Amino acid sequence: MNRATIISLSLIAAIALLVPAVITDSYSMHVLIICLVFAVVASNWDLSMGHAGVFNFAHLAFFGVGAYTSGILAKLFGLSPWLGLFLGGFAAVLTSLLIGLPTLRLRGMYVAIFTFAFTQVLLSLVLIWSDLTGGSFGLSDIPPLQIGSVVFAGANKVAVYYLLLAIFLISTCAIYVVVRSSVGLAFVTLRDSQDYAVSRGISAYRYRLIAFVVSSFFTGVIGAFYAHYLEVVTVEIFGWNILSLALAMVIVGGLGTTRGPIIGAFFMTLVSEYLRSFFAYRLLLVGIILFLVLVFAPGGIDSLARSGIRRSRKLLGFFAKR
Amino acid sequence: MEATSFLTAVLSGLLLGSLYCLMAMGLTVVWGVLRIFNFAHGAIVMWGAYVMWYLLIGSGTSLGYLGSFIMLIPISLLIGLAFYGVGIHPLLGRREVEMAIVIGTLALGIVLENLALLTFGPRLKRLPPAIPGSSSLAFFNVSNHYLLIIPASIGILAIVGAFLMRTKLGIAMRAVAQDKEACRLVGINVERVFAYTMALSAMLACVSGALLGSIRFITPSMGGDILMISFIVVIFGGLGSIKGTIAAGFFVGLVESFSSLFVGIYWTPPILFLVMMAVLVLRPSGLFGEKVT
Repeated sequence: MNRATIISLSLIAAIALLVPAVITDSYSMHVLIICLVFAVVASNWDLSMGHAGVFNFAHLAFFGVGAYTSGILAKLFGLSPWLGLFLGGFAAVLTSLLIGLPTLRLRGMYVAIFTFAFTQVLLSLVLIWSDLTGGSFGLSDIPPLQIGSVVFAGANKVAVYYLLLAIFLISTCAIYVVVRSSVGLAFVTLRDSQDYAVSRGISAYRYRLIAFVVSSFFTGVIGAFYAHYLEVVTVEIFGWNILSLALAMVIVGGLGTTRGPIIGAFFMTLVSEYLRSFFAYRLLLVGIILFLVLVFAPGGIDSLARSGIRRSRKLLGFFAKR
Repeated sequence: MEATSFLTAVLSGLLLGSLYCLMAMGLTVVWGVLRIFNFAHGAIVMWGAYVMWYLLIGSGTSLGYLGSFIMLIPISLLIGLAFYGVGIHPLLGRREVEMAIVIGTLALGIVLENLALLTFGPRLKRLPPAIPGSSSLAFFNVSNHYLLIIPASIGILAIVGAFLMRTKLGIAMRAVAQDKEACRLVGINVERVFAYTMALSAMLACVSGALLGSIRFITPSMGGDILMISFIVVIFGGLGSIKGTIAAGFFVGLVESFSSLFVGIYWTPPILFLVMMAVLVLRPSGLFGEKVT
């Protein structure tokens, strides 16, 4: 890490810690919380789709499985929501193994179709087991996370925010550790040149499975967190709308960059919250933004920002020479 | 179990199956020629149903059933060409072309779905039967409309088959499917064939949507289920195989009608998914398909 990175990181950390002192209204805090939740979802999705190049469209399924697992265990079986966070992550890992083991040997397009269809299947399973899941009405009255008298839900947004910030930090650090390790290098090699990677003894199947499983854990954890924060989960979580929104976060932010999808999560959440009252226009716009970025700026916000910085540096250098 | 309910299930399976063949054929020809998967296919089917509804009821014109159906065909071809120009062409030639097309067509699917929601509203719509009334077959009554749909879809498939086999453009499509470089060498404009193939696919999608709209409700969000069923059909039949798609379309239609008869309608997607998983694990190339790993 060079000095500029350290300075900017500590600046971001200071801002993140001080935000609740500045923003006091409950709605803005809620939006910020949703931003962070989706930052975890998007950055983990980016690990499997962006870094390892797996055509994974089941990522929101991991999120939903985490949410429903922890919600059901806490509501119907009285299990501690704190344990539920881990079990939500664990259930997401099991789900990723269930779909990863049979499919990841196949060509990319098959993986896309298979994972896509799997999310739809979960939707029907939620409707079938409506005794457990609440069916199309959703699973409501999920008990919140709690330490002593501090409840991490409802009006207590500041407590929720700091807890979420901690989870976000752990998840993001975990992603960076994986990406910087030899495993992460194997991911990128497989994505960019599979033949070369395989010739050097990297098993495409094994490493794709690792990416798939690793990216599912924190997604499940954050799904469980989301369920306990909102105190309700609905079947919408397996629907198209949330899938397209999350996909837009990853692509608009910048596929394969980790920080890009985090920025994308903030950007798209703010856009979609801003347009909350125009329901159909909101998703229309999400689709249009996603498509335009894909065609005209495939690197997303991240690469736009980088080329912007490069240009302004050049400009600065030009004036400095004068 | 009663013979009547068994026969009803068979008939409704054949009905669904014939529609699934049409839908999935649109995906199959595009896969065969362009080597891409169109994730907006379900949304195009949905638009076909809405355009048919508009021509027949919404616009207030007196085109009649056959007239509306014939009008739908040029409109759907234009939809396909526009879709190719806007959605597919700008993304071809990328290094990560498969990923780009999947995400791009998914984005366009969202756009199309919400455009339909804004244009036609969320209220359910339904097309009336083309021929009202029912006929009595050996044991039971069956609506005339259903008896019309099955031969109509098989007839359309036969026309498309003849088009691919006999006409110059159809032969060009099959040639591009086999070897693009060789096609360029002999002077076939590959890009143009791509565009026409997309138009053919949209035509099949819209026609199947128009037929589906008379047996199910039309909603802006109907595309998701349709997309999944079409995927299952093409995987089961083997990617790019026309024979396989037809066989798998009828098979999936029958599985769906029997599973909704015996275990309830919600169980259909999980059962079909398990069938798909078994096919992918045991015989990944599908019934008639190519190698996939």
